[in-house]
Amino acid sequence: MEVFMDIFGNFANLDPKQLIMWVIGGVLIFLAIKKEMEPTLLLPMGFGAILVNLPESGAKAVIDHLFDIGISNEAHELMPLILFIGIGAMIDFEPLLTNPKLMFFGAAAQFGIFFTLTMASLLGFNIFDAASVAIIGAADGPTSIFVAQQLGSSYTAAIMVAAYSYMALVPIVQPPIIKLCTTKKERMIRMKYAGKKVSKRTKILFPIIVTIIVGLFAPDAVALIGFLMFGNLIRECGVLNSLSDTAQNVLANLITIFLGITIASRMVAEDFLRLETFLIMGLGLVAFVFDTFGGVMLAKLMNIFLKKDKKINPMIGASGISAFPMSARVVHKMGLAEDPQNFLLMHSIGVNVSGQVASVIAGGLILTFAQQ
Amino acid sequence: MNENTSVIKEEIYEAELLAAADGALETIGAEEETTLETVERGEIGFTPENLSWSLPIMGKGMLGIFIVTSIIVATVVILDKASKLKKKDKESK
Repeated sequence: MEVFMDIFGNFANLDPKQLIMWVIGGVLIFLAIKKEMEPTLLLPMGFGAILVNLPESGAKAVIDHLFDIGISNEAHELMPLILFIGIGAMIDFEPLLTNPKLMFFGAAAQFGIFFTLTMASLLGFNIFDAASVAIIGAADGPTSIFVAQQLGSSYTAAIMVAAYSYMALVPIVQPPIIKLCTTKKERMIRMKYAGKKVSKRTKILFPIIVTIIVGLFAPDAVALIGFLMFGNLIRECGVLNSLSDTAQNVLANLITIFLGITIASRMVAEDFLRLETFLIMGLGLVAFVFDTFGGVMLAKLMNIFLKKDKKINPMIGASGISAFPMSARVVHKMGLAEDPQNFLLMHSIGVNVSGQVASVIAGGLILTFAQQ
Repeated sequence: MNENTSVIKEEIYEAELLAAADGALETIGAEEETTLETVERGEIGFTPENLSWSLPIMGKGMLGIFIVTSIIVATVVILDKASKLKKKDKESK
């Protein structure tokens, strides 16, 4: 009997809640592999969720340590910030620079963040948690982690799961909202693409100028925008091709591996399985829906004042949600479905990258206002 | 007698005013306390009084994001025009 207890003793420590977390971990792994939904993050998170929910898990201390040195406030949210260098190096701002007014759609598509903040407050979340939950609408993992950690939210894991799940679900979430907000005639509007060339000087100065402007208005976001734009400067300067390549591939991949599994340290059953997690998942959906709504509505509003040949296809406003490049692809596909000769990709990509910048600005503003 | 009565009445009136002011202050204090408690405690449940801080953030946030965006757009447009002017200058030379 004693031998039996020695071998199977740990089974007695198994909590039913941990079993539920195994199922959740399994679902995340399934979505990552079978449905190819954000596999780079959902797979490590899913596996990590199982790892930290094994009874008396020896891995928890290691993952906790990774959290302490990579994501915690003490570590100044190092991992998401370094990941932003890689993301910055991946982004080509040319479609945005050829038509800068597209940036307004990026701004309008952050409406979901602020609307969700109001909804979360109405549900009783305190100002810091409401702001952290709202930032799911940034549709940008590193920004969500950064803001939630800066504000000391106790729901980081739920926020992460919601942010990455909905980013992966953009092709499912956005089309019905876009269709609901637009008429068939509007969806068929064709837009000319001028295909202007942007000077190298403009491309180099853009990241520097954006960093300075955002830094002056939202100093709390300067780390986020600074690292993003630093990555972009490496890409555009033309003399650091090897570094740009490393940032886009090796660095981004390396950080992504650790980021996913480290977030799982906050997916311990007793902290994760609570009413608030379900509310956060619901509020995340609200954020994505109203982001889409905000972008589309601004385009419709602008169309009232534009000449007939200059009208904007309101669907491109939905790409202002930062989920890059899924959102741009969704809009492009929807355009083609309505009219096979309607190519919206370059416009929607421009709006999509502007959403990336706007979501960081929104993150900075929300940090500033919540801490006031 | 009349003078005494009027003095007493004035004193009562002043006392009533002070009491009313105290009461009002207490009410304001209690309201502030409730709002702060709700903000700090963050218990889950329908909390309409939280709109007092969340709606202004929503307004300021959307305004802020459009102001910052407008400045970036204006800068990019100026930058683009400046580089085009330089190009034209070079071409004319």
